[in-house]
Amino acid sequence: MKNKIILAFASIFLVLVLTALAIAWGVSSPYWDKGASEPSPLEMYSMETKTVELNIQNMAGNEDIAVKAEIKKGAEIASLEKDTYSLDLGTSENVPLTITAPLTAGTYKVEVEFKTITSGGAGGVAMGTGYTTSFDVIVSEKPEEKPKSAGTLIWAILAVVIIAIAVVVYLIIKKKK
Amino acid sequence: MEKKGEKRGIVIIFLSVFIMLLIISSVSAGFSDWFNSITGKAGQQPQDMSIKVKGTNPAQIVYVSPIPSTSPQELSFTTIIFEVHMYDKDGVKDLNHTSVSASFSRLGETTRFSGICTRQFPDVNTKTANYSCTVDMGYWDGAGDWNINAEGKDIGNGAWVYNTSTAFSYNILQAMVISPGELTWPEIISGAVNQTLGNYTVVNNTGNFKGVISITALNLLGETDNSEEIYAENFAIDIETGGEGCVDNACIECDGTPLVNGTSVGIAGSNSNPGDLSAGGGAGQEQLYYCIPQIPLLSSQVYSTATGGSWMISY
Repeated sequence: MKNKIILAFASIFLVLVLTALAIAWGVSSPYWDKGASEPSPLEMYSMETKTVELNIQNMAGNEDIAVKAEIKKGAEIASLEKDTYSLDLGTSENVPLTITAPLTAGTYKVEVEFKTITSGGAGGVAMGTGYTTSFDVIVSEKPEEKPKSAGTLIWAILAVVIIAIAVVVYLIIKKKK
Repeated sequence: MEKKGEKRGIVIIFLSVFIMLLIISSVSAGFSDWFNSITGKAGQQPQDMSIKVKGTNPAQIVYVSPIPSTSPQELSFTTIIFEVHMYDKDGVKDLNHTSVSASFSRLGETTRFSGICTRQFPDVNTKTANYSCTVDMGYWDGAGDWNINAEGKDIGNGAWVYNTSTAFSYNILQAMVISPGELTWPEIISGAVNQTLGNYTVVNNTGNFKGVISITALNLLGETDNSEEIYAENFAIDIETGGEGCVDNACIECDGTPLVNGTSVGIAGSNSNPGDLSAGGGAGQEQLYYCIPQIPLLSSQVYSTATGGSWMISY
């Protein structure tokens, strides 16, 4: 058959080479929403700005790595200085993540994805690794500072003056006697 | 007159005897010995004496220096150094300088101990000594707040005293080492079913993250004709395997979590399993097995990530 598609018995030499890459790196964070017994959110006041120091480590592998960082959630309140990091073997680098709390109080999610930049690898399937660092930002309204009462201060000074006068008068009278 | 004279005389006599006795007792060790030798009493010997006065007040651990939030280090121990001050109202000399130690504890985690803390000079003051303590935290120790316990005692009172008022935060570390090796499928026939891989991917947790492992797969494009592709959805992944040579339903991984092109998929039942990798026995590890449940009808060529991009295993 011309239209017969000769397929069924064709052997497909499918070679999937998952290249062995001893890729070893990690990301540390002082705040998280998963991965531990309880979450550790970041607490801020409205319109406050804080810098969260994430830390990329390349301590346990056998090669230098390039890592791409991207904010997946919370881009309206979070920002990165750069999005690509190169780490030599045996080094670590801080990744400053600047958070500016919005005016409205509430809980906001920040999610940053880190993944290795790897070549596709001709003839094989390159396997990379990645981490999603995420945490809640709990924004509350800043408590108002109570203004110092000028009246209270004046009364305090008056009281001290009156007491001082009374003491002097007493001493004078006593001396005259 | 005579009575007065008698009285005077008696006084003089008594005074003379008294003075004599005073002189004898101050200069006559020999006389005393001689006298005692007659009576049988023991002789006198010069004797050195010293009296050590022990403090009665107990010591107090009055200060533990703050420890900032600390990040674990991949596949390694993190050394944390901090200060402890111990006070004794009876003075520094009454402190037991080899008694001070500290520990970090957290519910569900292994307590970390410092050993004996080292005394530092100079002292804080005449009643307070300064000690340096060192605790090593493992890379797999859980993230969160750890309680700090400092203890010590003094010499005089001897009671153990403690300070458990402080804590520090151990950060989370998402880290792994993957070693798939070179994975190859055996010769695959178009239209066949349940084709498993000969080996598997090992995910070694080199941090303390505890949670599901995910995988993001991409379609494999033909290297000769890239209009043909093996969809990511043709693959399944599982933490269990039917073993080499498994057939049909015995190949557990072929009934595993299906992959989705360009989408992070949590691998059902997987766990990053933080632990001490050096302990062996699977601690800190998870294994991933692959299968193509249904081989698509495709032309014969190599299909790879050369143009489409790499797959990614993630936390």
